[in-house]
Amino acid sequence: MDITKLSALEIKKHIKSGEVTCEEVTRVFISKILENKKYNAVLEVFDDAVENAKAMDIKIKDGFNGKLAGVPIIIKDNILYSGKICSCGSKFMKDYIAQYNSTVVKRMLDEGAIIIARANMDEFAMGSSTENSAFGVAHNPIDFERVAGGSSGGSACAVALDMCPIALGTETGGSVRQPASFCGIYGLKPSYGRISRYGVVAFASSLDQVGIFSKTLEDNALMLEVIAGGDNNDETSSKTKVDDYLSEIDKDSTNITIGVPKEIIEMVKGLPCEVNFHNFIKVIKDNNIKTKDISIKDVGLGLATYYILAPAEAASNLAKFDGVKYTSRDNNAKNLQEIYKKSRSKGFGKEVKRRIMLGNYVLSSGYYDAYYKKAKAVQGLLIEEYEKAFDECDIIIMPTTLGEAYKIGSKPNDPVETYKEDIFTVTANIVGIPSLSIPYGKGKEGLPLGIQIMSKKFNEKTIYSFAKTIEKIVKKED
Amino acid sequence: MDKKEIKHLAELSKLEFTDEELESFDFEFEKLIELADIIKNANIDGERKLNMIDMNELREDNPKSGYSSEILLENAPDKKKGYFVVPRIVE
Repeated sequence: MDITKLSALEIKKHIKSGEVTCEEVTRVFISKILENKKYNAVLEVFDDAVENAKAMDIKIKDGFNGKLAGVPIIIKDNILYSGKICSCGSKFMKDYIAQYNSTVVKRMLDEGAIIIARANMDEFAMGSSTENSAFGVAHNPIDFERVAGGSSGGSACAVALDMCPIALGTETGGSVRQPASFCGIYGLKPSYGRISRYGVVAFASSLDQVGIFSKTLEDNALMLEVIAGGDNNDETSSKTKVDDYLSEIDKDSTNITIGVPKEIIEMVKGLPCEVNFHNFIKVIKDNNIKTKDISIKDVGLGLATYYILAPAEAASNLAKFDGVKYTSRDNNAKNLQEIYKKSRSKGFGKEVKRRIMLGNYVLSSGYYDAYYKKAKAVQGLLIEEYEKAFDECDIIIMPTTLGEAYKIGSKPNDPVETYKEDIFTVTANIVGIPSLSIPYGKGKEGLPLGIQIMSKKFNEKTIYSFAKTIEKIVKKED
Repeated sequence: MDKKEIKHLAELSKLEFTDEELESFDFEFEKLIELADIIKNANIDGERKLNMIDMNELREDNPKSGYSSEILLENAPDKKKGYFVVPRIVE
């Protein structure tokens, strides 16, 4: 039995029955990480993981039955785990040690998870390839010459290469769904407010969410059950009831309506994802699931809206990295202003500086109305358009990415060419709805592609049960 | 966008750029603004609430213990007797 191929639910079962110990499981996954070091998915294996696993074995023997009892988990490098380095993929934060647990870490630990490592990412989650990580790019698990995606590329690669069954990432504009698609696994961006962000380093606070990578749908649902729900330490977290995602996953969802936005049909024309997207629509129709042509008129404005709102918030959020409270200080600085400027200029990478500059530009007097205020209004418009669309359907589908994972270093110096990669993912963040990228089909080069399944806010359970229906259809066809 | 404007923006951002960096930044920034300018095509009729995402569920305002200053200072690059240390500000 190769433990690393198992799902979290299976691992839990095998530990409970006494077939394997949590310690054995943890050691096997750590070996897997070390064997695959060249992929650069993981920045650090936590040295107390095996000790924690041993303690968990005793606890389980004493009857502990947590939802993640003994399951090894990897977290993105911007999620605080007390006593561990949390560097956000930045050399500016390379020595930063978390002083407390994020709510997601606390909830996982309470349910018996063993957090074994932290994963590589684009610096401060800004990027779509992890090429912006200060610690080098994370490679694609299927083709080493290609990117794993980003910004949560390390987490996605780790799951795809069996370094853990479930990993956490974060999303501001597709940073979980896009790498999930590039690596051929499931990646969920939950509704805004579904998961507490307490102890998660902020990028753009009105868009950020923690997301979940997994090899199976059931594991994804299991993890959401554990980490979702209101939190007094994050007033933007919602107290809306957390559903029993796992037990409702097999609920029949053939009686629902799938919305296909006509604007997306236009947008995919000529793109590498076009054929696969149409195949997907055909498959659901062939299986007697109702589809409906819908319209989200201004979905095409999503990218511009995102690249105004996200940098604006980032410029404000990243002001706290100043070489005084934390982060490294440039010792050549002679006064306070120089500490700020020199430390930040030395500490931040190119992409982060670019976005801080853009953010301050759209917020500066003279431009605020034309850009930031207008983008907020378009956000309102898009929320309305999505709400209207969901009056006509239960699920909206679109591709996750333009195409397959691209070659490392292949994007030209024009940053906007890279930003365009996010065209299908950003609107879910702008309007706050949940979206799951499911692995579906392959591109011309034989690499995985993904389809996004979106639903109304706090309706993750419909997403899971529809995704399950698709999974069954695909299995039947194979 | 001229160099003067970019330098002003850098000042607001508390960032420094070398002349060489400014050169390439000029080109990139043009592209970024082109992307942002698409928003100008948006047809917004009537007043809209600025942010329609519902949030901010406040907890009861009950006092509870927080983190000690010792803990919070642990990541500071320079500290002394419970304070962050910075160079003298008042000459």
